[in-house]
Amino acid sequence: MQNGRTIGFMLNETELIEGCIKNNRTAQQALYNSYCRKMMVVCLRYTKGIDEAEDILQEGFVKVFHAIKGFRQEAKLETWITRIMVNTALNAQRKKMYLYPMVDVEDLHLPEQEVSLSGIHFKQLLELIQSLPQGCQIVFNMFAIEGYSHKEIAELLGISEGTSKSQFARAKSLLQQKLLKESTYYERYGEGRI
Amino acid sequence: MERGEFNDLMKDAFKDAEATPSENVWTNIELELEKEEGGAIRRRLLYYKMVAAASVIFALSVGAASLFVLDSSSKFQEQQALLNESSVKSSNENPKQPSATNKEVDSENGAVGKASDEHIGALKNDEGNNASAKGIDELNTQKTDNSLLSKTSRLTEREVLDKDNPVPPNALSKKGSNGVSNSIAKNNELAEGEDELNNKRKVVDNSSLSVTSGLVTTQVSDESKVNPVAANTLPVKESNGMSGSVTMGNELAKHDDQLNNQSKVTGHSSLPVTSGLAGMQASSNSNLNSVAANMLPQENAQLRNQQLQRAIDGDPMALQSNSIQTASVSALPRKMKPTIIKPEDAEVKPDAGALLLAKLAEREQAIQAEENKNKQVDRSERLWTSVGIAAGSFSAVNSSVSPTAMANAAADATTFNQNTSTANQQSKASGSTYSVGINIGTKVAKRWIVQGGLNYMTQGSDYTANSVVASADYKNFEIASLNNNSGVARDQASSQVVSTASYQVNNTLQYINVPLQAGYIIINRKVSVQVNTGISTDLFLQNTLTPEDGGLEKTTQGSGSESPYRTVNFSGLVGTEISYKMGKHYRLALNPGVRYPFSSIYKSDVGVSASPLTFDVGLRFRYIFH
Repeated sequence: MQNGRTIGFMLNETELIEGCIKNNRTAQQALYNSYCRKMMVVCLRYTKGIDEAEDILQEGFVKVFHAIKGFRQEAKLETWITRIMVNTALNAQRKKMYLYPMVDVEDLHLPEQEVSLSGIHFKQLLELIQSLPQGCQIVFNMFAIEGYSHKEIAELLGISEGTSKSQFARAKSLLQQKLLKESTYYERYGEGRI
Repeated sequence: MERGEFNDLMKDAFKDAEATPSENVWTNIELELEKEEGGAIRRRLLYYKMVAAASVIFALSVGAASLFVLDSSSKFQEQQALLNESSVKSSNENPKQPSATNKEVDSENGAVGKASDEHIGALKNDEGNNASAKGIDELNTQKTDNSLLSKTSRLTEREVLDKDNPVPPNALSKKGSNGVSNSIAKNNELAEGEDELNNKRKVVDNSSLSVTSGLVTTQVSDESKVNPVAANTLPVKESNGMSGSVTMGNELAKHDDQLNNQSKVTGHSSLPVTSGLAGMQASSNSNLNSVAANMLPQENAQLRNQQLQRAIDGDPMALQSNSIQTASVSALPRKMKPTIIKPEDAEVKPDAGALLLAKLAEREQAIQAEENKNKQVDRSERLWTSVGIAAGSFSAVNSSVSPTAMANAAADATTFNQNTSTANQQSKASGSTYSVGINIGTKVAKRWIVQGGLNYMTQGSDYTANSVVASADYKNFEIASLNNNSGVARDQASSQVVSTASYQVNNTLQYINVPLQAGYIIINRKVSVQVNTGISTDLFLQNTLTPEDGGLEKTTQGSGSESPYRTVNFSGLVGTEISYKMGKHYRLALNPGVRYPFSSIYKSDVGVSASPLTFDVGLRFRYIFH
């Protein structure tokens, strides 16, 4: 690991990619070390726990090393890897989605008070997102954080656009409710303490 | 839903978020990558191993086949020689034979009398065998038979029996002239006994037949009569001794078995075969025929006898085929009860490491499949260009001449007739076509391609004309054709059609084709097969009329209003392409195809319609850019 980390700092992104294309293990390790922590967060957002997230991270990076020959450098490498991770996570969650199909949510109890997220540590947000129902979690991540449109989400997940919207609304509602409930938490520990 | 502040805040919250995964993740990734590389090497190794194994098997098969062919031919030659020899000898001897239909076999018949002392002793033992059979003692019978056979194998005296004798002796022996002898002792034994249910049973035991090596003129009796039911075991032995013998013992039993409705044989005949070095091949046919007689049912025994009779009559092929047939029959394995291995009996101990490897292998396969799919689309032969030539023939399958149009273009009836005749000849002519051109193609999907190009095409045909077109002053003459006698012909008013003797005219059309085709790749390998279909824009350049005799000038008419041919036409193209990849950037392709114009190649006001169907085969050399 040390070797990969050291070389990762020494090499620029293009050299890393070239090394990975040649199946150079050191370059692959360096690339992994450069992005594994950010990608771990991506995987955590789509899963319910660390083990599951690590499985997806592992599978995703293997895919990255396989597919890196086709990386045209038209997008940022980080964006490209993130997309692979999201797709891997979606594939992994697809079975669960068949078990718990997403449906339109009719009655939403949106809190009137807008919740502020300023100063909330991402780990707390992560826990809240992980506590969402499966469908809501995925749609919320894709729309709010990854920036997919509802149309794209609908195509990727094989659901209707309306379902995507309602799932997002439900996710947002649930998150806001949970944030409000935990407001005492902020009062106790203050912002940025977590 | 529009993205609001909430979403932006969320995005920002995770913008620089990081979480450290455990060290195991990289270890697993590394393991998976290495396993994949190892798997690729293993697959390659396995492939080479399979190729090597296939090569060895192929070489062995070829070698075995060669040996068999050589062996068969030498056997055939030896048999022929021996047949000739034996037929000469057997014609000189004609000993009497007793009837084989006797239920009780007299062991001291004339044939035995001629046998050696040892043979006689053996036959005496055989008599004892009869007694044993009568007493329903199978084991004793077997033993006696064996002793008999072992003795008869040492026979040195030859008895050649006349082939005309319908009934074999109880014991026959022959000796080869070279001192190497095989003998088949045939001993018939008939016994009566009772089975366990006190049913009467007749046992016919036995036929022991001794034949000198290779002497296939054995006096084979009608065994089917003697052996209504036969069940024999045939142990075969070979020794390196200089004498060989084939002893066939048949035991025949007749009985009624009320319990299982099966024939029982009181004694099993045994057939030891001792082949001398020289007698080995020569005796093989007779040996095997004897085996067949024991193994096969009655019908086959009859067939065998017929074949042997044919062999006696001098047809060596009868024995040749028979030996092959019987050899295959005698090689049949004994029926065995299959042993069923129940997997659940084995204790299953899951290995954690193996499970992990299996899981990794499964993932690897999935990834590999996805990668291969991407590779095929992205990286294989996406853009190419090619140069090619094509040759073929065309025939006018749908041509017609409009009399009305011809009449309008003709000044009188004679002219009309001549013009119609010329139009018919010209429009219905068949000929050959050649083209040369360049093409460019691209892959638009995994198996779909689009290609276009530019070709120069000529279509030449011969027709018979029996007139010429003369100028008003009869000083200039032109070949009669649709160029000058149709509705669009030039100088119609100032020209006249004059009848002449028939002469041949070659009409060559020249086109520029712009084909555009879609293709589907059926096989995408080193040798690829694809089906193409599309349309071609045919731009008419000119036609040239060349008379076969030198009296008239060659005429060329370019495209335009004065030409009877359409300047622009469209044709449908259907074809296949079989190509071979010669290197990373090169392919050689063979393109058989069909071309058919959507409309007549002649202008509508000409009064002639023709759509020649063209079949051509092209050869293209393709350069693949990437």
